[in-house]
Amino acid sequence: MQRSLRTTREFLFSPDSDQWLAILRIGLGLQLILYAISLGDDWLFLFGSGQGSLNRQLAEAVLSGESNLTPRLGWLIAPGSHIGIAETTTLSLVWVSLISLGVCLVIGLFCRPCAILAWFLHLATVRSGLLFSYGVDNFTTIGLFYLVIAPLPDKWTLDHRLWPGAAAAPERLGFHRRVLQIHLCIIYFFGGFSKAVSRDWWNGDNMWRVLTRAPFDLIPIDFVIQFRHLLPLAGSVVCILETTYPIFIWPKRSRPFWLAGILLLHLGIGKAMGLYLFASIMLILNLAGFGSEPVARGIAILRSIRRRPV
Amino acid sequence: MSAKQRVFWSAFLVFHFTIAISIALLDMSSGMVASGRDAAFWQRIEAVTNTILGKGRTEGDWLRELIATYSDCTGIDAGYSYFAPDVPANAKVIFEITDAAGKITYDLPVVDKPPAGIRIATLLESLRTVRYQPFRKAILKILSESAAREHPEAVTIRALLGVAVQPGVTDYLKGKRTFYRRLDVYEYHSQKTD
Repeated sequence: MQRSLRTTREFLFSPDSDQWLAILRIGLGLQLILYAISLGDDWLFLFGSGQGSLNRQLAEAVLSGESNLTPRLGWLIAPGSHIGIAETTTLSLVWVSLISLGVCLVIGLFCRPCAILAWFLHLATVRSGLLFSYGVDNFTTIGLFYLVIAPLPDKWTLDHRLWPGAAAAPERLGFHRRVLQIHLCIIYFFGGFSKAVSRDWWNGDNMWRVLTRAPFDLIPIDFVIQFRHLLPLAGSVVCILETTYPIFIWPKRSRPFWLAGILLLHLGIGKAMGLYLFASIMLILNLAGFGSEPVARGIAILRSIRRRPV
Repeated sequence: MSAKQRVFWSAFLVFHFTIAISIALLDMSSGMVASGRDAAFWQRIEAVTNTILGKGRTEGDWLRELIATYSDCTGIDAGYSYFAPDVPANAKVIFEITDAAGKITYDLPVVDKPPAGIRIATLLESLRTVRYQPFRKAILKILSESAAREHPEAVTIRALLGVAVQPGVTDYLKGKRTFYRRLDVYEYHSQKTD
């Protein structure tokens, strides 16, 4: 019993650096900027409540059925309208704020308050867009939540340069990274297992449906037909990669392959299906969780190349 | 790190992943039950996870609301079985627009950029699965009003919600193509008078 408690403690609170936290912070900052810019032209249509928009209030009514305590855009719009600020102005301010908070997270300025505000505003936006939110929104909320509770700021922030303070305890950094890693294992195991029980993922039929289904049918159907014999292999690789992620991502020997495989999978999803935001958030979470060492090594190599005398 | 801090964070980890895993299991079990795979086993899993998540309690119950709020705020409120176990049929809305002269044209929901298009597709997916008719009608009404702004000449707009049934690879090679099965229709009338 004592031994297993000690092993669990060593696993959960293993000392770590803050490289992963820098990747998570910078990645989420960029993700917020991309999210806001990608929806910029349709922002008022998606989140407005007037005629010609998707009626945010209907989504917030549905949300209230589950919880009255979950943040929503109505919490900002209602007080704004009381003091004469139009709904469209508040929505535009939210949009500008998301981009500004993203920039602050990237450069590492006022990390903790910006992380909290970014999490709050993004959550309010996503919840008010409940009717049309999908995986990317949940994963971004997960990442932002983990950023809020993590020991910010890391060494690569402007905050650390302007106000150098005591470094976070390595055990605490290790614990928060472990939480992210365990969550990634849960995500891929459930995602992979759910696919693996269906014959149509192994025989390629589901890969065909995914690639030829609007609005993800970016690849011309004739091209998919030409390579239809690879669809069973592609479907099988997805099932195996995801389901066995929790097993093979931990050992040092197999981690590079599983990590590379998952990163390529998400790059492929982004390119083939147009799910760029989804691909980027999964890349960020995986690199922060399990890829910070290769990223740091890559950056060190680039720096040494730049410093070499010509 | 002090022992108290370790105990606190360990308790958080247990609580957090109990909720996350329960929601993931609930999501997976509803997909399994719907597809008829080991229905009895997955119904038992559904019952256990509903209990953990407080869904057996009455609506408005404080514990149920607390767990729902926590899972919303941490992003763990959804499962991870996207396109699993099977890829669902594709929902679509087509607008049938009739002008004052009786001419009929057709259009699709229009957004400015592809990322918003993915959101509209997600919205239509939720319409396909929702069973509460007034909710479906309300969304179709909103989409029709949006289409009416794009087509000021319209007197009547019928929003036809349907499901696109795709053929498999073998059927596609035999010449079969996607066909549409109508699910619902909403009729919008312009308030313009002559």
